[in-house]
This record gives sequence, C-alpha cells and structure tokens, in this order.
Amino acid sequence: MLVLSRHKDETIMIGDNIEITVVDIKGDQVRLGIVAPRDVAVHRKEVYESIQAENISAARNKSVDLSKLGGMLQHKKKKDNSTPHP
Amino acid sequence: MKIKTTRFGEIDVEESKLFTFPEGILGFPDIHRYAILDGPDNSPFKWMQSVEEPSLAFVICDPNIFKPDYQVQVSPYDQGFVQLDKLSDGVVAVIMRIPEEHWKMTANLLGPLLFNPDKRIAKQIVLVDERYSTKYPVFPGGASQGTASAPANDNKEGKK
Repeated sequence: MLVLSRHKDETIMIGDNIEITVVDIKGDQVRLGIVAPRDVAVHRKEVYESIQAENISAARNKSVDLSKLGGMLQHKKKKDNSTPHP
Repeated sequence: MKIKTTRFGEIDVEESKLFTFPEGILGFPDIHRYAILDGPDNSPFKWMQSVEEPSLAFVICDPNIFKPDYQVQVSPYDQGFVQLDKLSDGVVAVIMRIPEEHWKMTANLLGPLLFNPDKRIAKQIVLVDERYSTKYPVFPGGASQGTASAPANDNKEGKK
C-alpha cells in the first residue's frame, strides 16, 4: 500500500481525474472531499461490505413458500391499519 | 428459455422475465443473468433465480408494501447504467433475508435493486442514506433476538 502524508487542504490525485482532498482533521477522524468522474462509484467500504455480506446470507434461504410470506404481510397491513399512529 | 434450478427443478421462463446485471450483484460479481419468478396469488414476493447457477436464488419484494415511505435516490450514473430514460419507468425491489422463523425476516434497504423492465437491465445500487440499513426488520422486533418491544428502527448505527 502506498502511504502518503498530507496536511489539511492538501490533495492527492489518482490518475488524471480523481482528486481526494483532506478537508478537515479532528482527533482520529479525517474528512475527505472527493472529486471523481460520474462512472466511478465512491462508497464507504463498510457499506459496500455490509451489502455484500447481506447478499451472501440472503442467498442461503433454502425453500420458502412465497404465498405464506405474502399472507404474513397482509396480516401485518391489517394490523397496522387498525392501530392508530401517534 | 429453460433454466435449471435446485429449488424448482427445470423451469421454462419467458424472455421478458430475464434480466441482465452487467456487474452482477455485490458478492456475486460473476453471475449476470437472473429470472424473476412470480409468486402465487399476486404475492409481492418473487424469486430472483440465477440463470447460470442453479442453486442461487434470492427472495425479493416490493419495499413499498411494508415501508411505504421508502425512497431510493438514484444517481444519474445508475439511471444511465440501466438505460432508463425516465426514472418513473424503473422498478425497485429489495432483497429479503428469510430466516426459519419467518417473522424475523429483514429487507436490505441499503442495497436496492433497480430494474429497467423495458431493456431488462438491472443493477444493485448502493445508497448513501443513513436512514436505511441492510437489515430492516419487516415486523417490529423481528430482527433483534426476541426483544418484541424493540422499535422498528432501521438505523442501526443510531446516528443523529
């Protein structure tokens, strides 16, 4: 891994069109500003990983009766409608 | 088109029900084609069955059925990726996790699926929205281990 030191308001460039600027530093938290082309997705890594992990566990359903699930939702809907919301 | 599945045996699927995910979905980048199989009795739940991998299938659902205020902010890039001229022509579904105890089912509201029914291209999009989590409990208290009194709060980070 390439490691660079940067001060506040300094920028690094990745290729010709991705810029990452250190916007603010507070304690152990760094705020970064990112300029990237529209087709480059920028995400927090933990969000990306949590969706990945969720997909993998969602794929483990063996056999599920969809009409049973539908029935559970309808039941919930009826219940929700009969309970006044605050 | 005939496809092989471990759950349903060999099934015949209309072309109109086949969707291509050019990037796959997260965790399954090499699986690109899925068939959408409707449930019985107009169930809002459907199967999303891999064409390439017989054992891979997800339960998906229209999120508005259980979360009417759910909103997906689609970036212009994602809209272009699935070749949607008008966002209103797109269809959003979410992947469900269905444990043995069905009432503990959760919905992945952070990584919804965006479909272009016309071009039959789809993409899992990653939301930047702290209101939503990957484990939204459909039934209040359903996701947490047996605490029936837990509120249906889908912001597990609890920020702000």
